[in-house]
Amino acid sequence: MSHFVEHFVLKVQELSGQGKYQEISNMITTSPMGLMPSQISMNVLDNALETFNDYRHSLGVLHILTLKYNQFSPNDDFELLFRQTKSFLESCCKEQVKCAVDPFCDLCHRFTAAMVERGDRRRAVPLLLTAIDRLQSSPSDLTEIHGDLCQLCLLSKWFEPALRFLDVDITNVVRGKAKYAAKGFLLYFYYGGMIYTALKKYDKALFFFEAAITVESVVVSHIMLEAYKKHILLSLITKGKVEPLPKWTSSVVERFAHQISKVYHDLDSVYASNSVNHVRDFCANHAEQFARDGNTGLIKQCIASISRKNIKKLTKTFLTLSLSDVAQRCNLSSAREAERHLVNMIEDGEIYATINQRDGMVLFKDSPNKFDDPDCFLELEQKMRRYMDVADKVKKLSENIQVDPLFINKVGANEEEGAAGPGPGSVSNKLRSGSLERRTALNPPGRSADSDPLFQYLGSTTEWY
Amino acid sequence: MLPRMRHLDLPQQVHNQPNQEPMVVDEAEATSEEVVSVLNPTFELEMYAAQYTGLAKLNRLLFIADRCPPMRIEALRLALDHVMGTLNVNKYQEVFRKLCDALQAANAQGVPDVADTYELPQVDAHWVDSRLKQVALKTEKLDNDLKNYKANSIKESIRRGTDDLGEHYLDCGDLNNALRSFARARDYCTSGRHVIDYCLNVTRVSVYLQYWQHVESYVTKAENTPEVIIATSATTQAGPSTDSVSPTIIDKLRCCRGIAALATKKYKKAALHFLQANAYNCDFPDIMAARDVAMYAGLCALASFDRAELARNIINQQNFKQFLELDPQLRDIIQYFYESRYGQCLALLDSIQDNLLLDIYLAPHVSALYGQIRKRAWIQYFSPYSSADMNRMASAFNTTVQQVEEEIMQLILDNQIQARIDSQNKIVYARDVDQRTTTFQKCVEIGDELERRTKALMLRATLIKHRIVVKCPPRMMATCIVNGERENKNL
Repeated sequence: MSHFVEHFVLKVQELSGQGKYQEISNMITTSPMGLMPSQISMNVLDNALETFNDYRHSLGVLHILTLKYNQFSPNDDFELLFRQTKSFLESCCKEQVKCAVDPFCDLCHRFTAAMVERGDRRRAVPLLLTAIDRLQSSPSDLTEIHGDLCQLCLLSKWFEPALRFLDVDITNVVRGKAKYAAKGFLLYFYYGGMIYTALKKYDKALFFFEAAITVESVVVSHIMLEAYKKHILLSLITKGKVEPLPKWTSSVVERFAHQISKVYHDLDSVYASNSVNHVRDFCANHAEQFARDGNTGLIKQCIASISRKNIKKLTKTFLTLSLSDVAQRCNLSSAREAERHLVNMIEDGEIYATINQRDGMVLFKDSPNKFDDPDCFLELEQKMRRYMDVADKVKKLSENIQVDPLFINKVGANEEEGAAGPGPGSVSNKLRSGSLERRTALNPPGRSADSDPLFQYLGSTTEWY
Repeated sequence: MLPRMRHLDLPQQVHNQPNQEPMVVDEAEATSEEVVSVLNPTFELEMYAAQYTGLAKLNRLLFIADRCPPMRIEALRLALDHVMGTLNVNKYQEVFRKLCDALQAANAQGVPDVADTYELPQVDAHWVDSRLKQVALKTEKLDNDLKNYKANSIKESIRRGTDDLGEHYLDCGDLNNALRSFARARDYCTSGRHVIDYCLNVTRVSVYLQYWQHVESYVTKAENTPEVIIATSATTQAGPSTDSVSPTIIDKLRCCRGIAALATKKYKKAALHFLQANAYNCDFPDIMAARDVAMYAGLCALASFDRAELARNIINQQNFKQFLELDPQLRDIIQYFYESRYGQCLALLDSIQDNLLLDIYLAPHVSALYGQIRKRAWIQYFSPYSSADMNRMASAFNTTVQQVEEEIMQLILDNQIQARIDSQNKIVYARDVDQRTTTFQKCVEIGDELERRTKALMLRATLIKHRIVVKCPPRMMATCIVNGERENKNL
């Protein structure tokens, strides 16, 4: 069999020398070696690996490594393979890797899986960072490897590396030609949400779970389902109610996820009663299911959040209230417990109040933030800058779409079909796109979803490609 | 004063009457709500019944009989007397059965002097037979007539024929058929007057059947005929000419609409409709009495008007004053409410609650209306103050401080009152909202929301652009996703 390998090595070396990377990539996908990997012994592969240079023959190395992972059984010594993968990831050639995104991502998935299995997660994190870097052309590119990285970070409880990517707004996606690539991205959103949940940054976590749920879909994946459940719990914890999903959520999600996670919706209706005892009973009754979904911790937080919600409600209606009244109105066991809750909330900055221990009274106050000190203005200014950045980005996206030949064709076709457009061609088109653009800049994009070119585009992209 | 009600502990009577009986609809509603029984009504049943004719009388009496044990026997007797005058055999049997049950119950309770006077009546078999025959004969005759008219295809005669048939069915208590034949007249209306008659007939039957959507649409239809439009504008200008639609009909249409609005819980609309009616013309005992109009209008207005509207539409309205003279209690209630004497107002309201609960159309809404009136009273009471003592509020409303605190808290949570409660000193302080701060807060909130949503959309745009779609994968990939799922669970 080894002459196949030899032939392959020679061919790769020859083509790499000429810089015909695409051809190598094509050859690999059609290579007979891919069809019978188990017939090539490890030694031969290792030898072939020796003859390649990680940088110059990245594609060859990539293929051999993939074959090795295919043959790899869990009992084998992983150290050699780890070293080979490491050296490949660290010194492979960006240009070549981009010709073979799918095999590269696949390699990373397998590598991650192997590292997860061995419980050796921290060591893999820096390698995946390099791997992502190999695929990215800008830091705002999303790759399938992001999900692997998040998984490793989550398992090793080392969040900083993942946060570096999670905090960036995605504007581009790097993906291969594989038809079913959604899984990697779904996992990225799901694990990203879990990381933010672990850090108690609930707003961002919600954003990520929402992203996972709202990915365009014709079926509901398990990942989306789990994200859906966590989304409900987090909304309850942070907002006290489940907010409806954005209207662009695929209808299958609304239909199936709702049915399948009925317990969570029941929890929502029980939660609306604002009674700690009811919710506690409900959760105890369904504890098994929540545990099976791995949501026990969130459920506990959910229960705790009701008291907080109730206390917050009191601040709206009362100026002073005795501790025992607080306890009674919020279903807490005693004045002491009420006091403990209040102190915690005051410390967290959730409510503004002082406790008068002599009379056992709480004095609720308004937020001391009157928006009149310099710090506050600084913060406002930063926020405004962020909003403006977002608006700029939208504008840029919109501009990109307007010069996209596909979009222009489509709009032109529509106009002809409608037979309503009197002026032929460019002038009216230009005027129209000008006005559209202005609208984009002025309106909050969430609201004007139907009239925006960006969204017109979204609505029909699927057909064009 | 506490409302004197208790839950009906008598077993629900089972009626196996045919579907077209109007009370079926009503009872279905009543059982879905709380069935309350009223013990202390303060009106004279015979006088009450005398205000109505036809099915309205029958329905109201039966309603009272169901709800009010002390009046049950009297109401049923009156109903029986009334039903003997019609062709409604089904109803006769039903009323008769109920009366027997009621009498037996009374006898069983062993109130001696009552038991003596109430001996069980006999079923008038002769009456039943003759009526049944009469019904069959008349139905056949009218049917034949109608067929003849149709054969001759003279529109006017056909219209009269369908109307006669409708009236006959109505007399027999067969409401669905009545509605059907009245509705059939539509194709044979030749003038606006006919259209109005036709709409009125349909509306009337729909009210009995409690098909409120029908009522609204047919009243609108009638009001859109040129005759009614002329008549409504004429009343304000010159005296009614001989040719125009009588004001009674117009008031009847308005009141029907009012009832429909009331039944669908649009209290403000209901009040406005009732208020358009004129006391002199409110003469349609087959639907309701003028006093009812006053009561419905007054309560709905109290529950939904603000002070200025109340003054404009009720207190200073000559037309409505005449209505109010029909019911002095209601007049006092409105006057007290307007003069901010809420304690007296609420006490009076409580005292008439029992009577209202026996009104067939008002009963399901009494508690909701009372709740709204009370809320409105609180809001008005508090509106001029920047701080108010809860002890004095409690005394003004005849209630306890604890109760005041609960109610005010609810109102604050509903954003009806801008205030906060000082529970230590039992004082309510009006809240001075700092516009500037709230504006800032709102801006920041909206900005954050904008940022979040835009980012979500951009992310989505990117994903769609790269065609990332969750699809049903081929078999092999399916296991991959399931594996992925298993990984999650291991976390």
